[in-house]
Amino acid sequence: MNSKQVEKANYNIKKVSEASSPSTLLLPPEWIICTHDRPAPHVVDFKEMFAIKSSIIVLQLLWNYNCYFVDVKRRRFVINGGRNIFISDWKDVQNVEILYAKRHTKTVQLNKTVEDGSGKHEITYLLGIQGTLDGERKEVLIHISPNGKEWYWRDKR
Amino acid sequence: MGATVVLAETNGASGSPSETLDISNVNFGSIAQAELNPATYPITAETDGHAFEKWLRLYVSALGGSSQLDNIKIWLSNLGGGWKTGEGLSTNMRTSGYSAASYPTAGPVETDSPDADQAMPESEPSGPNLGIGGALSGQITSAPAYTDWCVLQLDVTAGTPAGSLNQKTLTFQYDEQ
Repeated sequence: MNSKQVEKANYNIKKVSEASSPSTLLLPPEWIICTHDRPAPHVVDFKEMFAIKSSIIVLQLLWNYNCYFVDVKRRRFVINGGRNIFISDWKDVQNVEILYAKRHTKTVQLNKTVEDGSGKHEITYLLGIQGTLDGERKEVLIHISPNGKEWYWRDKR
Repeated sequence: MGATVVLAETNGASGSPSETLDISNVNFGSIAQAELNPATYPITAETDGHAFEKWLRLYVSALGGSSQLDNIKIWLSNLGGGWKTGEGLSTNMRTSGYSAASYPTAGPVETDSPDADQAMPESEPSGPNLGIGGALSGQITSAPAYTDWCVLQLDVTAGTPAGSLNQKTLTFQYDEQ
């Protein structure tokens, strides 16, 4: 990613954080990525990322007042309050990784005496960002429901 | 497209096992059989009474483009109307001190299970409680493949009242990457 593209990504961070208000707290997270075959920053639906995970080189999550940024290629990683993130704030990290998972939750009945259909199958999506920054392990995990609107933090699994 | 994963139950002796894939229920009773009718094969209420063990595991027939599957958790997510007097569910699963169970040579037993010696969790475990390849941190990276065995046994006492038990919900969960 060249410097011009970085500036563009940085602009996106400011744009959302400056617009933060109580109403934006209800918005789902916004995902901006750069990929090998499409290096310009672009917004994607989280569920789409699962299919293209291996080609992501930069990922930026904007969520309320928070911004999470990871540059896999350059080993840069930022977890910040989100209001002002500049290139100078970036720190090199070691072992930076973006982790994805689909979490499947299925049910089956015990001592079922009435046939009432098959068990339920729910899928949620997980995104983890982790790396070692200043000797300290940083990791977050986002858990998102299929409709993308019910999402919350979880400890790393 | 994702991984294809089903719950499989095995019965019979180890030399000639009978596997049922994608079971629609986990009905305990007085016969070692998948999807049995509990009214036809009731469990006898007696001192140290037991249903036949259930030997279950997840079967991954295809990864469907995913690279790995792990973080297996199984627990009772809904007790329905609750436990009857003397009723309980035992398992081999645990989140620490884990070792894989080996399928018994003669098949599931109706006596007190030597493998299912833990109380079945009634909420989501904090970490995986069923292993892959003998380790809770294990991963399935190629298919077809199985998880380790999940052994369940329903226990009763002489004081357990006759009649239907409350239907409960077993939840199993895994992560696909």
